[in-house]
Amino acid sequence: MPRLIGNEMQQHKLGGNFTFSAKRIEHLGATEYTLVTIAVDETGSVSGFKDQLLAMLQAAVGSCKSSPRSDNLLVRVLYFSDKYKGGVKEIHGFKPLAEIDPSQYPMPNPGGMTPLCDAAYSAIGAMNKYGKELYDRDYLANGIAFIVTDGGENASVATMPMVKSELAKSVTGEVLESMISIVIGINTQVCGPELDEFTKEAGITKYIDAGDLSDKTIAEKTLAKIAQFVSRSVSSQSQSLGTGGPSQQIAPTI
Amino acid sequence: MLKFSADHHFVIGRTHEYGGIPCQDYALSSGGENVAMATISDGCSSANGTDVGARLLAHTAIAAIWEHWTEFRSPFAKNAIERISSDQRMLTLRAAQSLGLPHSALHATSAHAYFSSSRGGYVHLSGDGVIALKLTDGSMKLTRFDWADNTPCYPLYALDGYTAFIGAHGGDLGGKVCTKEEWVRHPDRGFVLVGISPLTLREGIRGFTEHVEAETMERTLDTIAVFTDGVTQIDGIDWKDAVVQLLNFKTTEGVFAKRRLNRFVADAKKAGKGPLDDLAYAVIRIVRDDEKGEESDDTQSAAESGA
Repeated sequence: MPRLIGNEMQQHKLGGNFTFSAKRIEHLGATEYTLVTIAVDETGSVSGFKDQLLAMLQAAVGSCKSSPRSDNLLVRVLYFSDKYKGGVKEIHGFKPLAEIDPSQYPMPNPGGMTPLCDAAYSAIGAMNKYGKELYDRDYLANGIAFIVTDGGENASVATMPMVKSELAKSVTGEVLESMISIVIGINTQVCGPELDEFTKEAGITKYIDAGDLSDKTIAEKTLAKIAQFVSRSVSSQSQSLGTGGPSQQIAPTI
Repeated sequence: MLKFSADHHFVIGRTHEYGGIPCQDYALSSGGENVAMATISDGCSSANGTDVGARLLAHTAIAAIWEHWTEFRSPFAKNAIERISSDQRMLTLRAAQSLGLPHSALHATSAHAYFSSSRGGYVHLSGDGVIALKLTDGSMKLTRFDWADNTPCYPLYALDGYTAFIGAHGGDLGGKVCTKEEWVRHPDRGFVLVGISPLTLREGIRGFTEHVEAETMERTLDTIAVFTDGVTQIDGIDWKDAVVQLLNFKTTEGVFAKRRLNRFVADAKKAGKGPLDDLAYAVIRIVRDDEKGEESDDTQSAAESGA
């Protein structure tokens, strides 16, 4: 049974000790929604470009506000690191864009190892669960998830079978009309092949190598491009609602 | 203290979708603190331009009701139905003239509901379609109106005093050319037929009105809905079941009727061909202070209820 946290949001349970929060469905006025999850790596290795990571997140969510479909987006933002219980910290649960102020996103405080399975499980599992609740109440919904990371899996509580199970459920079309999941690898000289392998094994839709962030200027440009990619992809997926399948317009590269 | 919420939606039927004909059904609604109104219109499928005509009739119905409300603040004041119908005709003709539309494009049915939070209200239908009243205890009254030879009366036939229309139905105003079919649905007993009444041409031209007194509205009324006759032509689904399903709102925030109709059509298309004819409906909900916003699930089908 979901738990009320204030008048507008409810907390929901996933498997294990994973939880997520979301806008109470009886407050949602549209006919259809795209569920968007952005999970951002907050492990020790991102400390060199944490400012740019925050800027990327703020720009990605901020750009979604100018989409013609902005009223049909519900966005959830996570930071992930094994310093958190369950590997993830929910910055906010699924909320309409109009209720989100990206300038309030906290500066990442990098530390800990990479719980990639936890991030994926929390992201996809929450979309499946909330998507089912929306479906049961006549809403049409699809989903898109982005996991931005510079490291391979090394510290999760959630297992790969749990992640695979949620991803398999997400693409049947029975609850969410469609789901697109994207791992965006940054600083991938070392972890690139591992992330590619993780993507394939888990059943994630695609892996995108965003490249090197070693230089501050390059990091700024690359993360800005990631923000644009996220915004465009969200728009495309939202426009595909009602077509019966996922967007075919997601760019293959950043 | 009660207030209203309202919503509406319309979908193209399979016949028109596959035939490349635009949707000729339309609906509009408005609901707030003191007054609510809802309207549907169904254009004649054998005349050109009735997709526009149906839209005109719906917009002018709402405009006429607002005009009446602004002046009289009561659905029961000053021959409301006659005044609103007359104003609707005048506004429709004016709009059609400015668009260069022939009168045949205005051949469409029209039904409207007009309710005040302090007085109650009514539903009036010219043509064919369905009126449904759902009560707070889950029971429902469903009334269906049909015409012989699928030739319903359109409000704009008044332009020639209904002469051609009367002739089309044999010239006898006392002839029985319409049918009123009334059902009640009880949550535990299912559908019970109240009666099937033949009506005269004279009665049909006058139109059909269901009045709701203030006390009844305040105590027992939950939802008022008007449907075009497309609700009676859904492949594999009895019209009464369709009405029940279309008023089974899972949540009531925002565009609640659009969500319900969209899901209903999606499910109907999985089970069969879905709506064969265009379908429109407009809904007024009575919102009471203690309402939480999420309806209880009422999915009892006719089969389950034994009707």
